[in-house]
Amino acid sequence: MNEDLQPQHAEERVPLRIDRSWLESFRARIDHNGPWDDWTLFQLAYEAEQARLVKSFDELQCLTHLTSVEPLPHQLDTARKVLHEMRGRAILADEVGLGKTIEAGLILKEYMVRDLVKRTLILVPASLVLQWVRELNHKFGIAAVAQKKPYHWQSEVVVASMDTAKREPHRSILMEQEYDMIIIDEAHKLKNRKTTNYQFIMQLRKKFCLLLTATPVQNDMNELYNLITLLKPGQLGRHGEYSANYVADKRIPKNEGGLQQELSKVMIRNRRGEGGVHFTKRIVKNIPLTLSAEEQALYDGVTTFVKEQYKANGGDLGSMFSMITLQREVCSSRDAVFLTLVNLSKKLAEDSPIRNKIWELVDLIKGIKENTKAETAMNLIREMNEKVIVFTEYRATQEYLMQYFSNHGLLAVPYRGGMNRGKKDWMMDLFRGRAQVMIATEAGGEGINLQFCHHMINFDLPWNPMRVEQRIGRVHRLGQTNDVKIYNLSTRGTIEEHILNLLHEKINMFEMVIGRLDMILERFEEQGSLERNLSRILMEASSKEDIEREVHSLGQSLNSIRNQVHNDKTIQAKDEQRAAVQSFLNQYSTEAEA
Amino acid sequence: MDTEQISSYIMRYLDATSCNIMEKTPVYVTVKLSEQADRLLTNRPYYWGFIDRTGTEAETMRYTFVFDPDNMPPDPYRAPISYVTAPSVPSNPVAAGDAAIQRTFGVAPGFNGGSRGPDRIPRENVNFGSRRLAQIMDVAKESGRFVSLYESLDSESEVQFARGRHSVAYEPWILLNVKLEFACDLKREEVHSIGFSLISGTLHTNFMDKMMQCSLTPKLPAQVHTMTWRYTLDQAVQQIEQTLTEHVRNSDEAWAVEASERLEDEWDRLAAYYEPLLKEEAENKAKAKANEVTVTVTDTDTEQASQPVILTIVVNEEPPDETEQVVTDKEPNQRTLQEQYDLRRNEIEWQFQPRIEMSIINAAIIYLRSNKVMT
Repeated sequence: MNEDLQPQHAEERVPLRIDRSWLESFRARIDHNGPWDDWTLFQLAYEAEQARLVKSFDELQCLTHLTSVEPLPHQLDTARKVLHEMRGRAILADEVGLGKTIEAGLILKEYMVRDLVKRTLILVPASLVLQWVRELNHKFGIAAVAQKKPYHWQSEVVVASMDTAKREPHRSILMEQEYDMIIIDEAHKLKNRKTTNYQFIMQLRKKFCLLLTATPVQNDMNELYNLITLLKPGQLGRHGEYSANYVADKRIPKNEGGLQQELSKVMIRNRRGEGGVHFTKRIVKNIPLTLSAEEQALYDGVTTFVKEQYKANGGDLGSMFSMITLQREVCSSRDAVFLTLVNLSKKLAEDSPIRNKIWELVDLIKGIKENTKAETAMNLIREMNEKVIVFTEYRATQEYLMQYFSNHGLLAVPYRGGMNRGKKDWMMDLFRGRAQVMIATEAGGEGINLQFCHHMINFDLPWNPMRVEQRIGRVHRLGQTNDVKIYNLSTRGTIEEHILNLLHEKINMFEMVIGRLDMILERFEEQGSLERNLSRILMEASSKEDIEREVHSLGQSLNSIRNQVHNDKTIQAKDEQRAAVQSFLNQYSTEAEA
Repeated sequence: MDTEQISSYIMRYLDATSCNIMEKTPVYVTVKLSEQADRLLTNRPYYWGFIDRTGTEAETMRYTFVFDPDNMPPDPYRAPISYVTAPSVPSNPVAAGDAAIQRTFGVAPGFNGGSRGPDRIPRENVNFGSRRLAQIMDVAKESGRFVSLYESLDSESEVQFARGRHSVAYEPWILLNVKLEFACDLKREEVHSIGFSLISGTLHTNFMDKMMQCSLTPKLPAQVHTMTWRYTLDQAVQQIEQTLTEHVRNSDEAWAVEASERLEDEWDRLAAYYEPLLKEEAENKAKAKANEVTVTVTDTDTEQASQPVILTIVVNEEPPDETEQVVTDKEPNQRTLQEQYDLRRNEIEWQFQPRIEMSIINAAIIYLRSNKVMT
């Protein structure tokens, strides 16, 4: 501490400290008549202090400082509640997709604006480190750094993975620090107090603390107790008291009213469909199209070729990766097929008989004059005359479309995974500003939030439904004010038609509630991935009817899983105790206390 | 701060540091920084170290500071040239259209290589909350700490008048701009600006606002003399501090009372949790010791007798999580229960303890005409 800070009026309740460290320096300048500073800068210093003055205890100051993020009402309420009622120690337990990161960012920013927080440690899963750093920098103007070198620990706001932080030599460094704020994402990893994670966090010195998790209880009431004890020891009493007061069985709470009241002092849980959190509708339209004779010939040619190769290979799916790719690409564009064919032939021996077959296919490609799909897509885009994002799986298709659209005077920008951050942001800006179309190959990953656009075209369909969902998630998310229109281009008489049929008609995935699909897939894929199933059907089916039948049965098994997931009673019958915890949690929400 | 205020703020900073303004609109300013500003703003210590050691002429940075990002036209240097796939064989009617599109995208002669071209001027938003504005404010605070100023004799007649009277007496004032912070787990601040006459001992509040309306100069004007101080600097500072201390003591302390109560409550909660645990631990230790003694008594003849039996006490009945690493041994730098309790108590105090801090934003000595009426 500064020795010039002298405690005054010790008898009073509130200690007043007066900083006199400046006085000697001022005296010296008077004695030597200088050096003096500039009068304008002197005024600017004063005005800066005025502009940034925190005038009241209550108001959220950070809002005037934020320009690149517009928090939603429930996020602001959460921030206020954490600041004013929970006093900076809280569990943020919103359901997935409601913006816990934004809430944490708001709270952190508010404390930083008030100069109450300087040193901050943010512990997140390794895969989220950079995303956190980006969001804090871009959305909140907080100079967060990702921990890579030991000296990074000295930065004011550090983001690191829990696994790194708890290991030596980092652990010892961190134990010596005093953190004004610690934020832990995916905090359900701290549910067991015998783990090193838990012990480690318990040992850290911290003033404010935020724990972020969508699942504060997974299957044991003790998890909740441990999490809260980490935050505020004694909030739920000692372990024995907690067990006696609130736990009927390991998995069944009792005195729920009392427990909820206690929880509401440390935990906030916003749920979907409550408190102004509202998602717009998804409207799906399938655009059927018929291939020209030449295109159909190519499709058939490739399909036959792929099947032959599969048989020749003895039905081994594992080694058939490029063949399956070929089968999928032929649904997208001839450019995509062409590239793969050329690469394939390069790998073959000079005298391989397959080479000839490949060149036959290439001749088929040369015969194609028009691209029915691209044409359909362009007409569609012209018709809607609004911003639209076109998704394709293939780089070659993307480049073809860029060229095709630009030849027809349609302004389009590309977006792909390989671009660096700056390029991605720039493409987004261009799309927002002047281009009508964005053609994207990458749907996953962070940072592409396109709420200003509410049309999307699936130029081709991924065979993995999660990827379809990720695509939709780019536009259909918090902040989207319009209903989202999804157009699927489906070519008659191809595998694509079947897949679309499966995803759309059978399991209705396009209109499914966010977060539901992963549950369904998780269960389904206990029996092997959907992609693999589809590949096998395609390779082994001998006729069109065969394919239809197989896809249909796939759809039925998906559907039955979907019904299970949908139907709470089914779950309860299977796992009644787990459901008890979950339903308690479902009742618990910020609104619940009212 | 609105756009206009920010614009004025930035322009005054650039002007005060002798930066070279290249282009100025209500939306943005493009500027070549002065050496002084460059050293403080661009964070290039190695570059400046190099310049200082070699004596080379410095090339300072240029920037476009954007006051109003919403109305800023797109950056012409950042057109997506390489991302528009150029048609391999442009057929004639299409070629014209392509060229038009390429022009819109900035494919033009003299294109300097996208974002990293040598001529590119980096663009930065300086809206409120931006890091650059915060940095400029911080730098201003560092570079505008202490000034010494004289009231200027602004009109010719005043100068004439002064000549006739031989010399005008100037009265020295100490000006302190003070920040008061009232903090617990939240915070409120006040700024006070107080002037103290070193001749009469008079105090004036809002002194800075008054001074900003005066015409002041760093040089002593001709035909002017300064009066001898009757108060010392320390007395001035003491007077101002005392006034502010009275102000603090008269202000509402409800927030502090509440914070202290919260602090006590939180401490009680911790005590209720930790004290029984500590007691338990002590009892278990005592028990362990007792066991040790009995073991020693029964096994006197065996070799193991010299080694005390250590009991591991299992307090926790939860099964370890299979997927995560479980603490088996005590970590070497594990804190004891007592240490944890102390740590938690200190954290709570750190969090809630109400406190008030008085610090100086900046200080000045200002000489004003002695009979100047302060309103």
